[in-house]
Amino acid sequence: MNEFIVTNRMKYWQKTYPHWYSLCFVFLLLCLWEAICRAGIVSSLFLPAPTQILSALFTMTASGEIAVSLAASLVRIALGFVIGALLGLAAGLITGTSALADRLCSPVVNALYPIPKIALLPLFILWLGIGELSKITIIATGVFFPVAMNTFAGVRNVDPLLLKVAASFNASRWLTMKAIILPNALPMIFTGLRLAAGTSLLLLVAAEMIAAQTGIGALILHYGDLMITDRLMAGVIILSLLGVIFNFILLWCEKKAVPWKN
Amino acid sequence: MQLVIDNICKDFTNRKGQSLPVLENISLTVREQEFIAIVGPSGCGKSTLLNLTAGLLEPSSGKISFTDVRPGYQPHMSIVFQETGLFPWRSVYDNVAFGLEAKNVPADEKKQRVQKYIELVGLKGFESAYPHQLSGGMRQRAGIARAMSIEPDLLLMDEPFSALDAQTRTIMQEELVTLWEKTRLTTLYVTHNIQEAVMLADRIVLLSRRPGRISQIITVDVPRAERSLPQHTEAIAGFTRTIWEHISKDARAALMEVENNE
Repeated sequence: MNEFIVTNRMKYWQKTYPHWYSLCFVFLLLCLWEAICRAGIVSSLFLPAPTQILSALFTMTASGEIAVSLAASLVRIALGFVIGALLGLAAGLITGTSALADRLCSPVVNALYPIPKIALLPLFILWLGIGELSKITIIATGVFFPVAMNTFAGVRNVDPLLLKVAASFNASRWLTMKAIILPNALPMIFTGLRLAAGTSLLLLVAAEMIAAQTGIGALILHYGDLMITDRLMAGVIILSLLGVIFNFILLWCEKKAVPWKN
Repeated sequence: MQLVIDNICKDFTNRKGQSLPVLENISLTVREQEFIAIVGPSGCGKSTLLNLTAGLLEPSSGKISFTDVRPGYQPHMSIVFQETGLFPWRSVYDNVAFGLEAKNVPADEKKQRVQKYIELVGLKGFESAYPHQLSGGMRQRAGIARAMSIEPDLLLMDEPFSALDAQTRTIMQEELVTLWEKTRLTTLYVTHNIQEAVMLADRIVLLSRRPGRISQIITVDVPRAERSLPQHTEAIAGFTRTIWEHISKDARAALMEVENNE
């Protein structure tokens, strides 16, 4: 007669790998890229090697070119993001808590939401001029919608039981909003903010490519026109870093603001 | 064929990297057609023991095996989970059929067996209902039918009735006794409810608080079908009292402990 040993059937799903695997893989990809360029398989005009891009990045940083463009872009995106996020937050809270505001405003918001916001840029330029204001406005518009919609959803999914608790203690509408509805919506609000961060970066670059002398978008377009691809790629890398840092900051804020989730 | 749990230890590593012993030196033999209940205060590792037996976790040391197995035969186990674990997108019928699908049972036999076990647990007429349309008790019946339909060599039940209200629970216990007498499946039943263990089990294994060790094994020598009869009330109450005296100190200590089941 035999013996049958029970083994772990969840092994595959429970498997984890250490973090340095990711780093190694990125490094491997970069090496492969470098090798392809060095071997002359692709012309460096179309695909510059990583080392080439890096050295372009260094010279551009040293000459102050990056700093000037980055400063211009950061002001636009920061102002646009903050204004859009605050308005979106307010709109989401109001439409989420007031049945009347919901009836009146939600159809309008839902109708405007699917418009690709970049299509409004010519109109904004017409209204606000070619300067900073039209760019900040387009970014704020792009940020407004995801934040408003996620805030609305977060407000609406509050557990009715918690509302009953508040009502049973005769809590005022303001206290209920502050102590129950807002904390409940926070995780969703942060999801909206992170979605909006991506949108804002997209609109920033698009707006700068259409109508700007300074900024990372203008810089990329400029070197694209001149076919200096390593400098173009350096600009793209700055954008990628910007996106990563942006997301990281939002994640950090979320961890501080929502301590009851993990 | 019998299940042998041989000197099992299980440690968990917490986020700080410290090793936390959950189970220590557990040895137990479950004979064929035996109903064993594992009872202990919360946090004694009884669910962990069940998961180890089911092969859903890896023990830190020790071995779990079936002995006296026919050559070439692979023993089957199935689990009834506390939260039922029914697939929300499958009807009762398709949920019960899942285990048979996984076992590649031919279509005719599958149909016949699903029907049989749906009838046996009293779900006839609800075949096409989705889990969310059923009450808690009905859902757990579907869970039991799913586990039993593969006619396992070992049935594992992880606090199957603890999410139910007291009345439904009593009814389900009585039904399980009848059901078990019909199927006589070897069963390992985890519960924190002493009365439930005394009504159902041939032997009751008492676990001590963290790290869980077997502190006593009690044989309930009243025939299962007669345990609710008046002439045995005294004897049953005696078992319940003995067990409660044995674990109440641990249970009180467990109550004061901050929940950190990660």
